[in-house]
Amino acid sequence: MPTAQGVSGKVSYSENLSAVFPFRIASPEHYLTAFFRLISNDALGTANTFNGWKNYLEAPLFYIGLITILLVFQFFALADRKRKLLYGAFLGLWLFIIIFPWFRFAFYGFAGDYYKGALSLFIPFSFLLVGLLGFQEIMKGKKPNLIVLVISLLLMVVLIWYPYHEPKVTISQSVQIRASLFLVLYSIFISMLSSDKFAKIILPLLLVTVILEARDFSWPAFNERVSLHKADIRNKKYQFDNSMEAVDYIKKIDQGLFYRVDKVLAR
Amino acid sequence: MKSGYNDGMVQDFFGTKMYQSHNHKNYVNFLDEMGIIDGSQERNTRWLLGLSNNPYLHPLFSIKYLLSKDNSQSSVNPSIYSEVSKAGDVHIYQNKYFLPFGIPFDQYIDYDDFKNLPNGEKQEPFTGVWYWKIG
Repeated sequence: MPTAQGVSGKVSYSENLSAVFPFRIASPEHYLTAFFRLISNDALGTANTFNGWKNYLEAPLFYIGLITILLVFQFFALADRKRKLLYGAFLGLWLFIIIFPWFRFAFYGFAGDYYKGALSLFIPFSFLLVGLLGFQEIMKGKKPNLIVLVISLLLMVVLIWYPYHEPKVTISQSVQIRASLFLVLYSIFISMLSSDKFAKIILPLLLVTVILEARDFSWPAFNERVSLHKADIRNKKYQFDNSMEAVDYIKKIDQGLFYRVDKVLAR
Repeated sequence: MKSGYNDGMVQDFFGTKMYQSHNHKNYVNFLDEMGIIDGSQERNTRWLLGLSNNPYLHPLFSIKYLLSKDNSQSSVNPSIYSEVSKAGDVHIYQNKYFLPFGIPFDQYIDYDDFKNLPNGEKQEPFTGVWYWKIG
């Protein structure tokens, strides 16, 4: 049996969202959250400790591996002009949606001010696609552009460590350190790919580093989130308290077709 | 931390409090216009407080039973609810003025008149739905 009026419908908030000026920009914490969640899922805290724009689930989530960022820069340094324009426009479209919230509201049918599944899936995978195309350019025999590599590394490190002084955003120093280290490592590996002598050693090393990063950066999301334990049911915590027995009792004494039960329980 | 919003779904009963991304707009509008929630805040339309703190509307919504604990006894209106049993630390109350689903009305109030009522008086027309039971 569902609760109350459990069907979907339009809420009046959609009118508020559609009334926003289309080229109004978002708040600084929104952009900071979007950037740091490109660096790591947990760059602004994990689950309940998340401190950024919105919450852990509804904030933008663009992380898809740090090497992707460097490889995207390499793609725009190495690919031919036509492909640069094509993929540049492709990524530019997503960037536009991130910069101007009205277009994000429109993307979600003015249902709410959040990111959720779709954009947090399409944007990182678009990024990954362009990153892989950049990697393909190198694998096809083009030498990585070392100047662009150094500039992209410095840019990322500066953006990661810049003192933003935004009280609504708490950046994890642990993530800052680890992300910087991985970026430096990837930059070294990518630069060494230009040498035929090192390529055979570097590729397996690159793979191992990517796996290590994936393991390290996904650990908090899997292991540091509050979840229900079997003991919580035994110990009558949360919704497993004595109200379970109370509801059973009501159902036993009253088999009426329709009535509601309400609670004024302070948990 | 918010809790208990989807107890009805977990414990299998009809309630009034719930979380959903898109709650039914008429229910949201009702709560908004009664002054129970501020519907202009989007989050309030997802985290629906329901009617637990508005006992005078309970008969209209066919709320027949109310559960409370020792520390929330003050939220139970004794003129409407009487205790029928207890399960552990949970008190079970029954609504003395329960109305079943689907009842006829012989009076109404115009929407404009209702809109012009002060927030504190908006629930009063609805108490008339069950108040006759006292007499």
